Amino acid sequence: MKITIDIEGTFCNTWPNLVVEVNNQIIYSNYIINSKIIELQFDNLRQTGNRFVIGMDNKSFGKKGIWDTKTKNNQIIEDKTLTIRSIKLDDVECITLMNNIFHIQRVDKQPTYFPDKVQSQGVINYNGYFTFSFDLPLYNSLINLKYKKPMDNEISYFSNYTKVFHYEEEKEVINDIYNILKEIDEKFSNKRAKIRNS
Amino acid sequence: MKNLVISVPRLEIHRPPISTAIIAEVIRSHGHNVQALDLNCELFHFLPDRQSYYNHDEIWDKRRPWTFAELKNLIKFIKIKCLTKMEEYDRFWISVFGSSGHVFTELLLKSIRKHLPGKIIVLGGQGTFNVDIAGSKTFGYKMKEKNLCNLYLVGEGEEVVKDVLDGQLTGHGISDENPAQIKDLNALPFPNYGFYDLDRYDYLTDNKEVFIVGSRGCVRRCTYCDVAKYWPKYRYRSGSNIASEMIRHYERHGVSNFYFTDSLVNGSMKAFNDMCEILAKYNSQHKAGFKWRGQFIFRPKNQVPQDHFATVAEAGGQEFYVGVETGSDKIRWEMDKKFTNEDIDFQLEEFNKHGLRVFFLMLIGYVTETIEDHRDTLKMFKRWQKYVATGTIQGIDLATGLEFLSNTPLERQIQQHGVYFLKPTKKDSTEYVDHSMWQARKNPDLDMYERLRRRLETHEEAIKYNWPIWRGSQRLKAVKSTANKYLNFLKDQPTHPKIVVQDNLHFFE
Repeated sequence: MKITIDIEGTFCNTWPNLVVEVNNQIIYSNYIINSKIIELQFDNLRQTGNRFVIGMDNKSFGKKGIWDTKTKNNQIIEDKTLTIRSIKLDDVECITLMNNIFHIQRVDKQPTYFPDKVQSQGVINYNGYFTFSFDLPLYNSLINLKYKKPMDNEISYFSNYTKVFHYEEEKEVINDIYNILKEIDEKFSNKRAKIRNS
Repeated sequence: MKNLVISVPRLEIHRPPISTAIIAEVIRSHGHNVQALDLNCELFHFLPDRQSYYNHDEIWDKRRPWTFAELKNLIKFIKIKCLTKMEEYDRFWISVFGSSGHVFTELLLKSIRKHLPGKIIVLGGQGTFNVDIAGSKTFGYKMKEKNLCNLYLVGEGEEVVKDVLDGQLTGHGISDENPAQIKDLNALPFPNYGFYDLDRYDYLTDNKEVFIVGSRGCVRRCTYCDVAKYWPKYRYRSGSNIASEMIRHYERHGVSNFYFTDSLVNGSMKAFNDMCEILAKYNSQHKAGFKWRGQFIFRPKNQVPQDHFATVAEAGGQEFYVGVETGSDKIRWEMDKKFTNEDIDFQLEEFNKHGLRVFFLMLIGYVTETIEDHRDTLKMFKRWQKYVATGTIQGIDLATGLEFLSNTPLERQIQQHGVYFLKPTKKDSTEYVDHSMWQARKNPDLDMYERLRRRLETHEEAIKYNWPIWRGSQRLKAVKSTANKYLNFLKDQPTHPKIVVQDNLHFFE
């Protein structure tokens, strides 16, 4: 699986360190200096429940007196952050699968009442990570994760996009038709051949 | 004389009808008193819910007769919602969109003749001109023969309506099936949606949407298609004329969404590019947020200008319906489509890059399709699955299979392919020949059974690769109905089936 990440880092004391993990294996850990497009390859995937994690791990919140956010007159003048612009798995954009939920790992002097999760659209202001899971085959899984919706029967016939990707009814009708073909095979193959070869 | 322009079910309820918005404007600008009445919209609001409305589709498509309760309710609807509104007018211009308008129209006409005698009824629209492949009479002709209308108009209404308003009762297109074609579409008036309450439609999004006609006819002559019957010559409006109309609807009614009725929105590349450039400029200056959709043709890669798709996206191009038809280059060439899988690769990538979306329209079981061609079709689901995952491919309509339509290149190739039809048994028969029940001597392997099997296999492959199959179960139910007709046909055949010739067509019956 090809992983393509388009990301931007901002500097404060040091550059932010990006960590990428798949199934608990770290496949990338490096500073992001300004903007960068990272291409990675990972093939040791499981049939189900693969977990992709992307985050930052080197922001200091007062450890040894170092703060990686600097303010002046209540304005941030320098901050260590990462902004993820795009995450593609085999060329398919997956950033929406993070659901804008950032998981915080509290460190140093970050207060204990600080939340475990915050809403964020790809911006990493704290140590922690975004995550999502997927199965194989990859595209089948991504299609379901991105587009399959619960069926809503209140939407009109012509425009009911919620029915898409729910194949149950279609499979039933396909079976019905196969049964008709089976009956033709068993009872009328002679007539069928005579007409076809007429 | 007070005129009432009427549209009838079935029409899509997602936009106001364009044909009557044009005809009403033609009558008004010719100096006559006119109003418009959309009975499709009235029926939508008369019935208790959407499902009841859509349940009538089977009746309009003649797939089942109405129940007694449905008929009673429709008569009640006609009395309450139609005749009471119609009685103050002297002349009715009824637009029948297609054959799915026949059932309701005939019921309405009978009611008018019974309850509002003396009114003048003029029928128009493509539905008046529908004819069966075996050569039966047109709907308009039949209604006139039964004295259910005074006149029926064939072809484009803009000119012929003015002739009738001027008192002509004969001429090209007036109860005559040789209409003249309008040459300059730029000279026609814009449809006037002021005749409708635009808040009463069941739009697909939160924004109002109207139809746009950018061209009539088609630059292509796809063998299975009967567009040339209605519009023999391809004509198109200039890009600036189309853009002006869209801008007018936006400025007058706040409409920012548009659906092109064209056979191909990009039939004329010059008009299409000009339109896109004007709309892109207007969009950036006024933040109009135009979004528009329509049928589109993939072109050979070398015919597509650089930055073409970027401009389409900036102009508000959003979703395009493309007749891909098959995964076989050979079959697509024989259909006269003139683009290849490589051209599709290129255009899908461009669509993906610029956030444009596409629906594939398919035709499984073309008359010359071999098993290798079929396998090529199966391969496309894996080949382009990535674009389903990116959201570029929004849907695929696998349809029900090839039907022989009258006045198509394929109809003229019936002898060449040795095509014959299997007549449905009395139990299944309607007054029409079933154009889907065909076999071809030149391609005996592709008999009814094999076509049904390939249709199922294609559907299963689409499911395997998780494609967004549009109207999947509805289409399959139609395929099942065909399978049952074929089974019943075989059951009723003698041990030694014989062929008969009727109306120059060969049948097993």
